[in-house]
Amino acid sequence: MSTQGPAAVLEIRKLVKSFGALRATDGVSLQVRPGEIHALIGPNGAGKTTLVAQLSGQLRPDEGEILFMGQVINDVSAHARVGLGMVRSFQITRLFKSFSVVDNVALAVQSLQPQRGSIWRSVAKDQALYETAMALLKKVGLAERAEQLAPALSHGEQRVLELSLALATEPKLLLLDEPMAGTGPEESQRIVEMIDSLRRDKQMAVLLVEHDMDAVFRLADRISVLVNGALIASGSPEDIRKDPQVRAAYLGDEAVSPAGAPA
Amino acid sequence: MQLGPSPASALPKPASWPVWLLLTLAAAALGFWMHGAGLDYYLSMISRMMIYGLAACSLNLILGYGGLVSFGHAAYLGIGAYTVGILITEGMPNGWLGFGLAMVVSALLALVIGAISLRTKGVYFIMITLAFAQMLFYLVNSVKAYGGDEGLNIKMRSDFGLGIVLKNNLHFFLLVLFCLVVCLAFMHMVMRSRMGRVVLAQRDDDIRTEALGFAVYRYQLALFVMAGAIGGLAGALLVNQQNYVSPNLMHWTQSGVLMIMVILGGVGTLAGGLWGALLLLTLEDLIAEVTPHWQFYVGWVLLAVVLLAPKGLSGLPDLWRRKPTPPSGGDA
Repeated sequence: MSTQGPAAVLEIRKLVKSFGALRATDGVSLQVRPGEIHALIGPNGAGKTTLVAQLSGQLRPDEGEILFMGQVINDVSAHARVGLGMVRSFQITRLFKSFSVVDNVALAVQSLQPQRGSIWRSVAKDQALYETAMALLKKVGLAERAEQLAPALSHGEQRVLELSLALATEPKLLLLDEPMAGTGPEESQRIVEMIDSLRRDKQMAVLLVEHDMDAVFRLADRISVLVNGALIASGSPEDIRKDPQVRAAYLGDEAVSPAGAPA
Repeated sequence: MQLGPSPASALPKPASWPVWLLLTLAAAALGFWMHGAGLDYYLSMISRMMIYGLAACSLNLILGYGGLVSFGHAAYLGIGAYTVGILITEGMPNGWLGFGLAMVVSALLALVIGAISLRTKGVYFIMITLAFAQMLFYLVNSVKAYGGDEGLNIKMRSDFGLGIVLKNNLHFFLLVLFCLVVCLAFMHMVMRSRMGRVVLAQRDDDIRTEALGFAVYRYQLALFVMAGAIGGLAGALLVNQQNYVSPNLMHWTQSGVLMIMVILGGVGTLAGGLWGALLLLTLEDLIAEVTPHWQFYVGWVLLAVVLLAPKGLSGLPDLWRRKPTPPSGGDA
């Protein structure tokens, strides 16, 4: 029924993941098409982060298939998935604390290169590597902070750097786990523009897990709603806005969001 | 503009080659002078300290740079020593063969132990490396053919030909110095390479490193094997220095001693293990002359270092220059 093969960058088929009695992922199927931002929303504890962890390879699904560019990748390790062209960012900022900002990015750039684990050449003298890293930092507006240690950045800047690390690996598909988590309005705006430009300039496909509804409705081409591990709706932002089930479960009424397990 | 890692970064600084060259030449000159002045006893003692320094530096590679607390490093020291000891006992004193094989055997051992223990983390990793080392300790204890718990005396030292006579304390000292310098240079090269970057990155956050496309486990294992091989080389030197090897060399307390050396000298610094070994063994010798309870006093020194100089002896120059070591992050 749906379009086959490479028409979708990412396709998930009936994915199931349980922790004891808790079905954290309960038969989820969805697609991310080329150049599309597909947003995944849902209340706390709905299983969004668990789903991202399975897509990026940190967790193994119990059942179902994950296809990337038409290829089943259930058995592909987390690091090898980056090589295929999918990379994730983290909800909790995970930067390399003892590295400077530019060294953080340089490491991500290094992961693209065939001799990424070479023991022979000095990295510090690798001009090409640092030029690429600096160019990226200029683009995201962190060039002036390049020499600082990563923990010296403000929270918003750290979120931008977190996203930049993922971008530096030049993915075909970006898995963003709450990129705006904990940011103020101005910083959110900056990140929204960053993600928007990825779709516009690079035709990058994005799976966006996000709590910030303004950002979701501004960015998403399609939205899927996850509640208690299962998708209850999937469609255009307009459809989702109108869906009575979604409204009841989630939108506009955060207070009655089902009390699932903590995220 | 020259691009490169920032001065603020905690990544390894470029080597100050003149300083290292000077230190090496000074050490060699000291050796010649001591030999000439008939201080062979002390020269041999310094050789021994440097061998332990080499072992501690190799431990620092995994413990300091890798952030992997291996509590079984004495195993490699012991296996290297036994490899050479057994070869000599079996009539094969060739030094190239013995030292080469000592490194290969301990590298293979590290490969097996690492392949299994690196699948665990934290306390489990500490315990499993300790368990492997203790298994080897008991294994060697039970091999009666090579001395069992009484240890193995070697009748002669390794023979390298080329006019190198290891019975000569100066020759032996120069061999130790050579091994030490080559290994430190190798470790320095690794730590500033791409592999070294990944090693430091996984120390900060292994999941993040994996998520950027690096096969963290393989890097850890490679590091583990390098450290094991260098530990084996130190063992090959040590059996030649003592003319003797016993299972006690592989006892877990020995692994602890190597750790103390690393902490004294500076965790995650290139030569920290060496400075730590020099300090600890000097203290041991000095205090042991006065009281048999030297460990009590060494304990106070260790406490002082941990509390007052977190980067160990290697951090002292920075402390004196009142230059703070890299900030430990906003919320730490």
